[in-house]
Amino acid sequence: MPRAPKRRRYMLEEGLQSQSETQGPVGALLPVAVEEDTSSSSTCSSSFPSSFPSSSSSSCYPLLSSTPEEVDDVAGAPSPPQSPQSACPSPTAMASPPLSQSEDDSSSSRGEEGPSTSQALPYTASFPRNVIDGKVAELVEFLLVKYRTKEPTTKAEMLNTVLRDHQDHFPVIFSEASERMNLIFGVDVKEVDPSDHAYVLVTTLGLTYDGMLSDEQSMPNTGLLVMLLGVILLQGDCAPEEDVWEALSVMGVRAGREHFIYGEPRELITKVWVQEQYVEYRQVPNSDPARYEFLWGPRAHAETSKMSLLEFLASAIGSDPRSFPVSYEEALRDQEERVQARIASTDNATDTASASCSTVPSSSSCPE
Amino acid sequence: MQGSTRRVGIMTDVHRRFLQLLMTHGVLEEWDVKRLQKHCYKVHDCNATVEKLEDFINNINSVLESLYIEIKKGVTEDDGRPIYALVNLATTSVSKMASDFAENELDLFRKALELIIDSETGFASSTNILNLVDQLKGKKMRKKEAEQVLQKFVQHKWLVEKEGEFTLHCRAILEMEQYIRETHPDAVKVCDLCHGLLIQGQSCETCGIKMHLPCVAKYFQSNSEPRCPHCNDYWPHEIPEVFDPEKEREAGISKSNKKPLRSRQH
Repeated sequence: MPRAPKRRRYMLEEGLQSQSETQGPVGALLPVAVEEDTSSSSTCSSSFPSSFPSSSSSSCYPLLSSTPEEVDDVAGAPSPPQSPQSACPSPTAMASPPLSQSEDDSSSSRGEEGPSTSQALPYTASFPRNVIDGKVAELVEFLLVKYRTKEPTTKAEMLNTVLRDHQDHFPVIFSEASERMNLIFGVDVKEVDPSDHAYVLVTTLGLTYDGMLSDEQSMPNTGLLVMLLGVILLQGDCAPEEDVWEALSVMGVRAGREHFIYGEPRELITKVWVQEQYVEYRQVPNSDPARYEFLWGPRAHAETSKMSLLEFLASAIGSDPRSFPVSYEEALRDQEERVQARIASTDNATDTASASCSTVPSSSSCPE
Repeated sequence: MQGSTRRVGIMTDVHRRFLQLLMTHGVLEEWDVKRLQKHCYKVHDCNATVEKLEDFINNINSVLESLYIEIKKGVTEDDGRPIYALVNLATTSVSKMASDFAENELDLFRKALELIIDSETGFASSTNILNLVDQLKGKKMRKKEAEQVLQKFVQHKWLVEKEGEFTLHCRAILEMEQYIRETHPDAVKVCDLCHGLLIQGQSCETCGIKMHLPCVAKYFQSNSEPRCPHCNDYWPHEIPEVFDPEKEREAGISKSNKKPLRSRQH
């Protein structure tokens, strides 16, 4: 493995460089010629350090940090290719040969990282690829926690915890992490508040209900759930209980009667699915004697859409969503709202990306 | 309706859903994992043959490698049930718990962990743990509060309680093995057979080596004269049965035992 003796390197923040032999100014991306005297560790090494440099200790991460000296090898590792986009033949990249049996997606998306990277940063910085990979992995871990806890996050939070020493590279790291979240976990990192750069983590896979919490032996009754959501939708987003039972009876599902697939449905739709947040079951206001109605729950709204459900219902009966004109209108409106929200957030994201990279950070990387 | 199927490398929505759900459940027994896998196929690709679980998991792990994450398989220490969890390989700390617990609570966990590792049986008594309450970092915690925190650990599947004593949940062992080995290199015990981390097990009274109960079960299976693999002395303990998933399901024992593992985390 040839060593590059003297290379023009764009110095990164002190936090990154301080542990390596090379010296340099703090913060700003300035070209500096340095003596490259670090030992030639493997390029784009696919093996991760045995104790991961989780040095960005905050209240969240981690509580007993591992030996940060490990960062030396990582930071000092020469990456011969000048541009970050050149794909190191490392298994760390998603586009590694054994994996990409399908042609393009992973490798092209990886390649696309390059141009967008150089657009995001004013110079073609050749920073060690494996450090970035490491930070991407850390950010993914962080986002996965947020997904599990169903908490939103903000750019500020990410910068203060996982990416404290890599603020300049937020756009690259964030975009790669988001992509991994999407392609590997099917989770979308969705911007919900452009002014705040607030994000939520949502599944892209539709209904995630898996029936694991209820009766062990039966197969999960997603089908019945879809029907229920459909009935509610067709009733104008709010369905009286009587109507629900009438609709379900068409499928042979009756309250109080054990169904050979679905079991006893009353418990399922009024308790289990309410607990799972797929439906809301509430008393009709001012009803006496008390009558009840069903609505979509927050999880249904998060995991699917009115249009999706309508399309499914329509196809199930060999028809077209437009056969349900009222619901179709409503679904269109809902769809439009979602699209608008997405456009708004994308616009702001682009503005933000170009804005953030031209900012020279102040020396924010004081040692802990 | 259930999201468009995108194929990237080997990752399809089947795999993505599997990962999402495994993550949500935290830790799952093998029987549930197989059910989960079938469910994911049914939702996205019902015509495809369900891939053998081992291969399915290995394929996913090859993609997860770049993120220092893997689906790790373990075995419960008390009765040898195979379990699976999504584990972060690079994290050498209790950071997985960090999102749910305050600083002093995490310190309580570390103290309990230390007592468990140092103990002979792999169990630490509630009293001994609570006596350490004054040494905790962060906000001051009273014993009454600490009792509740311990219960919280049980609920979140980090500890298990048995008659007033606490040991590590199989999930904690699976997820924190690396961390435990690194922070307690001298005190940590290791199984003489599988060389894995050992919290509970049987020991040879002559030479002191230890073995996991399921490892003992497998090693001495149908051996009428069990002898220590190290010093050859007679093995004095009762040899447990090898875990048989088929037998379990028939007996319906699984119903009551499985519940603790299968609760949703959040």
